[in-house]
Amino acid sequence: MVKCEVSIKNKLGIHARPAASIVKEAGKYKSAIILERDRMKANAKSIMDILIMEADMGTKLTVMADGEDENEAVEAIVKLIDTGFGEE
Amino acid sequence: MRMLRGIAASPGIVMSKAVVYDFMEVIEGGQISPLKADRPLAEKGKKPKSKSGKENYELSKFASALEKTKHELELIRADFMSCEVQPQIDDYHSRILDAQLLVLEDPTLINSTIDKIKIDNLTATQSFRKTTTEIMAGFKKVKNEYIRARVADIKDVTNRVLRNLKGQSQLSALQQVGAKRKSRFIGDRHIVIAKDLSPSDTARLNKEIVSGFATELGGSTSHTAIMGRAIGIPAVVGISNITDSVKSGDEIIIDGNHGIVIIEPDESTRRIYEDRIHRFQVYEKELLSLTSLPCRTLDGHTVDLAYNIELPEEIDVALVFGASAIGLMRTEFIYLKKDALPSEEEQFEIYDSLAQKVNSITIRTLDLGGDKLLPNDNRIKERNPALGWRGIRVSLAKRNIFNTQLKAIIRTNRHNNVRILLPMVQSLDEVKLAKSCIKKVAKRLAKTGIHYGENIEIGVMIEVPSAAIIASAIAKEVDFLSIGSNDLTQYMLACDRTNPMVAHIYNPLHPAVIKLIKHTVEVSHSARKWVSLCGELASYPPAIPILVGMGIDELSVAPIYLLEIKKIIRSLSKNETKAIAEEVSGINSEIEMKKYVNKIRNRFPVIEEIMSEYENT
Repeated sequence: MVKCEVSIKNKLGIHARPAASIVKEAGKYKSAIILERDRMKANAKSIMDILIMEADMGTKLTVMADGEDENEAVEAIVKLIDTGFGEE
Repeated sequence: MRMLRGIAASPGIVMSKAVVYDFMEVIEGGQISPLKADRPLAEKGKKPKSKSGKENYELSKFASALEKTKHELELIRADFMSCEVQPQIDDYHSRILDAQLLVLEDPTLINSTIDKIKIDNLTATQSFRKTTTEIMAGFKKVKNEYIRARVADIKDVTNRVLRNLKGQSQLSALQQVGAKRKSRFIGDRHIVIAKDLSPSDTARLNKEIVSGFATELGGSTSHTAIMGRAIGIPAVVGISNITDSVKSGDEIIIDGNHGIVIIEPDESTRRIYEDRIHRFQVYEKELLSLTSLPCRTLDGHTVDLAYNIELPEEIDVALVFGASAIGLMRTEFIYLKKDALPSEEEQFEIYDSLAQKVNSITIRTLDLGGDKLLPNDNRIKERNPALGWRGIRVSLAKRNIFNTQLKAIIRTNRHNNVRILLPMVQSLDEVKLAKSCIKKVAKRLAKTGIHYGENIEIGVMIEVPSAAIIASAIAKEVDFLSIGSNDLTQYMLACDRTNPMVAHIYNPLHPAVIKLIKHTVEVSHSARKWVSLCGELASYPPAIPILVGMGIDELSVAPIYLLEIKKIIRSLSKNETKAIAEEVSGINSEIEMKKYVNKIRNRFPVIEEIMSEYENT
């Protein structure tokens, strides 16, 4: 299991488009990937889980992955969030 | 026979058969009860005997419903790509469809449904419905507006899955109408009855098959209502429970002039309405004959007639009516539609596509509550949003957003027909500051070889009373003024017209409002600047002689009113209206004003005729 903390940088937070990007990225890995926010857990492969978690700008998330490609998975999701999904 | 009242959203009267499109039906209703062993196991098809046999049957039913729904969404996407919708709408829909496809692959949704089939012994339909209810409960707690705005799209896709599970037809409202038209009621156009019409439905509303519509949701400025007006079919919105009151095939009358829906009219009502429909058709035909005539009074005084648009689609009706100037283009929709701020390029494309079709276009810079542009955490709850952070106040504070919009507007002036209009201005200094912003952006663009900003016309909305009072100073700073009578009335009378307790106080013909409008026109003319009026007052027939008499240079109205207003202006003489304006400006009591308005109606048969067409009978 690999863990890494990130905070949401883009102004609009994780709305529909960023959520879709996370799901698409997470789908590339075999590992189970979880986003955790104040004990609330969201499956990174579930668009509805991610949307319900409601991560606005400044929210701190823990990205966790467990499986054969856990290192790559966490790295990829963290990078996506850190670069603000290519938004402002 | 039953009569229901709603909000008149798009004018016209029509009588036809109803097609009920029950868009939300599936998720709201329905009880969930665990399946008993002796009950039939599935609605249709073979009845498997063993538990695992039943389980496999339900699981495969679920899988095929997901597959089928995916296929449908892909068909819709292909449909959108092929039909000629505006590119920005296309992009918007394709993003929605993208998210919807992900919902179909959502592991939380799928696993929870499968668990319920396996462990709780429910049917696929029951399991899926229970799962979506649970997930929707999660969404109810979400506060972020951008996410909440997507809930309807998610419901749309889960409803599709449910209908596929139940083996129901998956046609869109319009396809349903088309199919029924072919089978049951050949030759008729139909009235669509729905809880709400999704953007994808309204984008495809076709006059050939739909003659009118009535919905439960929406107000007169909702997307549905605007689309009704844009394509010119009668519509009534905001009628509670209409989908429960009407069955497909019922005879329906939609009176979009008065906001009335009549279900299964009796013989005498039917005859009254046949008569009214006929009269209205004659009336509309007569109006259409004015399309290419000038908007000029009997004694040769021209009033420029322009139109307001809120969505690009509205331009089509205006073009049919022969109008060639957009007097007020609202830009809020561009900001509300997207999850992210619109880029300069996106804005330019929208503005430019409109500018190409008209002789002149006045683009109002963003007039939105600023909170809509910020992430949730940074929002301050405004106790009085109408008096709060909106319009030019936001633009001046958020220069990046303002500059991006200005750049797009100035680039659109490549046709040399664009004007900039600044909303919510309350002081001279704001005007000067905004002007310097425009100059700066123009200069920067000029360095890249784009010189369209150098002499672009700039105007100010006169809607805050303070701006009206110092209008003479403001007029000297800019090229024109545009009176926003709706907000001016609201601010002058300290009355929120959407609040039913005080709505009766709201009166654009309040003597004080009329005096301030007159003042604005006069000082503007002394500064040799022209004035437009773009509120609802401009389309209120008895107000026309008053405004023309004051010397207003341009009236900007919703496209559907263009011809009626032209008809009135063509029946007036400038001299006569001058006297009316003089008399009106001497009135101080609202009751007196009301009496005077009645006098105007009696004096001008054209005005009386139009008023009676829309008044309750």
